Amino acid sequence: MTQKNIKSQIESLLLVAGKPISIKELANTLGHSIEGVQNEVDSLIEEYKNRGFRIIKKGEKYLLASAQENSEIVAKFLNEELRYDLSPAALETLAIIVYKQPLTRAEIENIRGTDCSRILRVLMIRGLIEEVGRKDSPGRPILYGTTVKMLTYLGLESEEQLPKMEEVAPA
Amino acid sequence: MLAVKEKTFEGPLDLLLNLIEKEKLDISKISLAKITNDYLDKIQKIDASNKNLADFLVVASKLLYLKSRALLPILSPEEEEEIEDLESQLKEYKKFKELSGQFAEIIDKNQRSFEPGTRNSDFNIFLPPLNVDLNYLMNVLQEALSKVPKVEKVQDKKVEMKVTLEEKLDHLQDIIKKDKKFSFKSVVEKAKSRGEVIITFLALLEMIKRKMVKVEQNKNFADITVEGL
Repeated sequence: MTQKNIKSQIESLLLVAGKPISIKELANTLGHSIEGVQNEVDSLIEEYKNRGFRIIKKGEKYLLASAQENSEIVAKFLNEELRYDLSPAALETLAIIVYKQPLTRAEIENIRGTDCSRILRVLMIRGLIEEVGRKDSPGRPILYGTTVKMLTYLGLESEEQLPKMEEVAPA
Repeated sequence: MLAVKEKTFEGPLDLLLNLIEKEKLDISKISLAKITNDYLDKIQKIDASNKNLADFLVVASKLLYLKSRALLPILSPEEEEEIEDLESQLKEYKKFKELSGQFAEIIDKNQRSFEPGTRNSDFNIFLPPLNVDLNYLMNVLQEALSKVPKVEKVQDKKVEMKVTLEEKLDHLQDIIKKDKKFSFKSVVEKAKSRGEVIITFLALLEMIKRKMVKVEQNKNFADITVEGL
């Protein structure tokens, strides 16, 4: 199989997947090494810089999505609001989850000092966060984490592009 | 959310942070003690029905604790810890508040990407038929309302106590004294209202309780024979 073939096949898979797909899944499907596929995906990310689509990376997973600079026209086509406003409280909660995930509702509320159940529901409905598991502690509370949609909503291509958080100095 | 004058606070920490920043102070035990009064002033204005009121009160109690410590400096280690907690909690909260501000700036750029398949699948949107206009909606509403059964107003009516329990008791006792025994049915038949029947029955129960009479009834709903003891 030539290099070009693999790249083209990855492109097709990303296109039809329509949802985040892991490098491992790509490698298994293509019968190719993880490293090899990773290199090809990285190269595709570079190539797409001037195209109408972008590869969004969240952890191990990749998603083919529309380019950020075309957001206005795409939103018009989709007949969708370009942005829905999140309240300051919702943004705060989202920020906590982004940097502290996975974490439970109690842990989020401890940081914010107030109830977050309604806000968590809003973020879930928006698809910005999801349940990622259960904490191994009494009551096995739900752990929350962010989704790829959180990145596309912010117009970022990977978590590395998120604003940096300096470590909270221990008191 | 709580509206205090012009600004809305998302929670107790938001309020606390705002007060400290207004005074241009750093987050420290000293600055927390300083703004305690302001904080208490602000939460005076919270509507008691606010469901987050308890959260504001927790922080208020911590602040008061902090302030009293300034007067009584001897504290056990765990008490010390509690105060450190509020300070570090506020510092951490501040970080996330700033980050959320940066998030807002990113969102304000209006540069987001969309996943494939967003067009139909994401949400089910309700779209009214084309011929729907304001008049149509008004008509439908009126039609629907006309079908709603009218709530009949039940008239307030006071139950008049024509006979009291005591009077009835005396009356029944008189019969017992005179006739030794009587048929409950015969007494009830003379009653002028449903209420009186009920009172009569209550009087009978009272007499049974006081062990003044014994009663006999052969089967359900049959007449009751009442005999004095």
